Amino acid sequence: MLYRHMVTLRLLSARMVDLQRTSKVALHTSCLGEEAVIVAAALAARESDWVFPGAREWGAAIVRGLPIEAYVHHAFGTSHDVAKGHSAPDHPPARQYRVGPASGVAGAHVPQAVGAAWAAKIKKDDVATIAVFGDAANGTGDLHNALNFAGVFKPACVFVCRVDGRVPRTTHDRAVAYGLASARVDGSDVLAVLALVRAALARATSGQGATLIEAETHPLTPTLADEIWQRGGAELLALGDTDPLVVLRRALERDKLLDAAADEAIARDVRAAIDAAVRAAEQAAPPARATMFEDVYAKVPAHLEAQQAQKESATWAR
Amino acid sequence: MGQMNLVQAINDALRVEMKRDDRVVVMGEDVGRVGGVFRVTAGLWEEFGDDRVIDTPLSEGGILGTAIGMALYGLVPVPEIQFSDFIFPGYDQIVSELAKMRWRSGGEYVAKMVVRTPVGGGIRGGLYHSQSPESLFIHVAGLKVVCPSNPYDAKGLLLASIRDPDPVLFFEPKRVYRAARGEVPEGDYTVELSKAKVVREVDASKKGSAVTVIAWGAMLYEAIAAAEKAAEQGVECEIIDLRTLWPVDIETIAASVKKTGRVVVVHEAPKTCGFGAELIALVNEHCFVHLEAPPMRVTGFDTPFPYTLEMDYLPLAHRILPAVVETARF
Repeated sequence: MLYRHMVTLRLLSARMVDLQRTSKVALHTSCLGEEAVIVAAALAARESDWVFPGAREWGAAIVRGLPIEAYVHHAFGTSHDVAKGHSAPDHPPARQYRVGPASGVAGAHVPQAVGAAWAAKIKKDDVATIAVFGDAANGTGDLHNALNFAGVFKPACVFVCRVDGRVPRTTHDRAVAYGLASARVDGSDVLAVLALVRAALARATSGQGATLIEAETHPLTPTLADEIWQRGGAELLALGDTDPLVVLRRALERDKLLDAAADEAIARDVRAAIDAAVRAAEQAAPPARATMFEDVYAKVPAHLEAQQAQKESATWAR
Repeated sequence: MGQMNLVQAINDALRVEMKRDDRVVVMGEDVGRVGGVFRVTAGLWEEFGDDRVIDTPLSEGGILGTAIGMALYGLVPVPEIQFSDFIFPGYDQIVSELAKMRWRSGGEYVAKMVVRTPVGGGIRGGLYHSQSPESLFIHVAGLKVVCPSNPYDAKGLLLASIRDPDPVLFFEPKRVYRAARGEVPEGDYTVELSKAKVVREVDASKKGSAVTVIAWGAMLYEAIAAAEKAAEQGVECEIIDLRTLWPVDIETIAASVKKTGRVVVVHEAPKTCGFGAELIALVNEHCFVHLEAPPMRVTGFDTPFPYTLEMDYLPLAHRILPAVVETARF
């Protein structure tokens, strides 16, 4: 499953980059080359735990069980999108899979992850949260708040930060300052990230506090997306020694857990699932116009009913 | 029944609801051991303990960000922001996260909470302890905004706010925290949201000659004082206490303006793009043909809130009176 998740995120992100280029979807936050951190963080979580991804970590929802088709409908904003076309792509709602809401504001979800873990602690539930974010969130006030509150109240929380070397590193120093544990890991090695996040979770759930994990990644340029999507299963992995798929594939082959035929079959399956999802989304209708006014409040208030009526009375069709 | 001030009534509401619903947690700066800077949460920490009355670091963004996470998990946080002037470090969590949570997920995620915060001037607080930022929240789709003027409403509106499914900004007029006193029932009752109250009524025979005055919070008392003076000059006022600012009870406003034909809106916030602008636009939409005079606003000025000259800044009765008379005699 681990390998399949990695291939799914690789191929799906490649396909979405392509769909963005052709304006089928408005935007896509590529995770090419950073799949290992996202997959590991989501897989490390126990079933009762919650994962809080940012927009670039949309793949966490898929690893936790969100169907590819649901993700693609969301990206297209179709009538089958759970979010009813309200939000931009890569913020797929996945509450039933215990995945928190991704924000369009970098870092905004991280204090929410702390609050959810804190609530679990107050309710005496054996539930931890894992917040995943990137360099972009690292400089925000929200991240400071999250780490500060985690240090003070010690909820069962793990922070997993993707760093790709473009920003000066202060992660370890910060962890010390906030009274958190810290650890660094090769973000291309999914097994290493998985082991580390699991250890941090065990530490957190035993009441010893949060850990800030820094996972160094090597994002692939989205210009490779077309090549990745077009090429076959085994070739998909020939993108260099720091490619997390190369690293995992070597480990699996060494342990004789994957052969060329199985590899091809997984890639073929995933590709077919993505193709089917994209076809379905391309053919789906947009959400009904009235849905724009839904969910602002629990019940549509009178002033929104009036605005909706005014809109519907417009006779010059757009 | 017993006499309470606004502080005691809000404290009582929190206690009633924390007893009734163990999902409710109070959090904020010095809300626990100290009992709140205005003593609104006094005694709650002793009664409900560390897990439900939480002293937080001084960080509004952290308070609101973590409160949203708590709400996502199923608690009902009632964070206190010590002064509404200090809410802005947490403004992004309110605007981008709290207000949009339900909408952006098609109803899948809900972050229910009530943000309590003292509002308004007249306490020698200077520019960072006196502001009235309600418009900055009314303008954000997804929030409800409440501002009681008296203890009975404060308790009933807070209980209704906590039980309402949507996030609520609950502004407490600190100038009358202790000055506003009144009978408050024991135990549980609610005051329905989005229902304004006519606190001074004129009869239908005054059609076209009386003035509707719309106010809320501490300025309600200034409107009442102005109305008493105006009556001495033969001008009758119908006064509406909005209580819930958004979604606003336009029916009550329109019914009154259709009767009087004249309207004055009073608020402490600066004039430009203040809530008075929206109220007058709504009056124009709903009862333009009934108007006998241009609607007027008596408000704070488009300046920061002053320290020394705060009584010159506030739209007190002596400034409301000439507006009411001018409107009546237009």
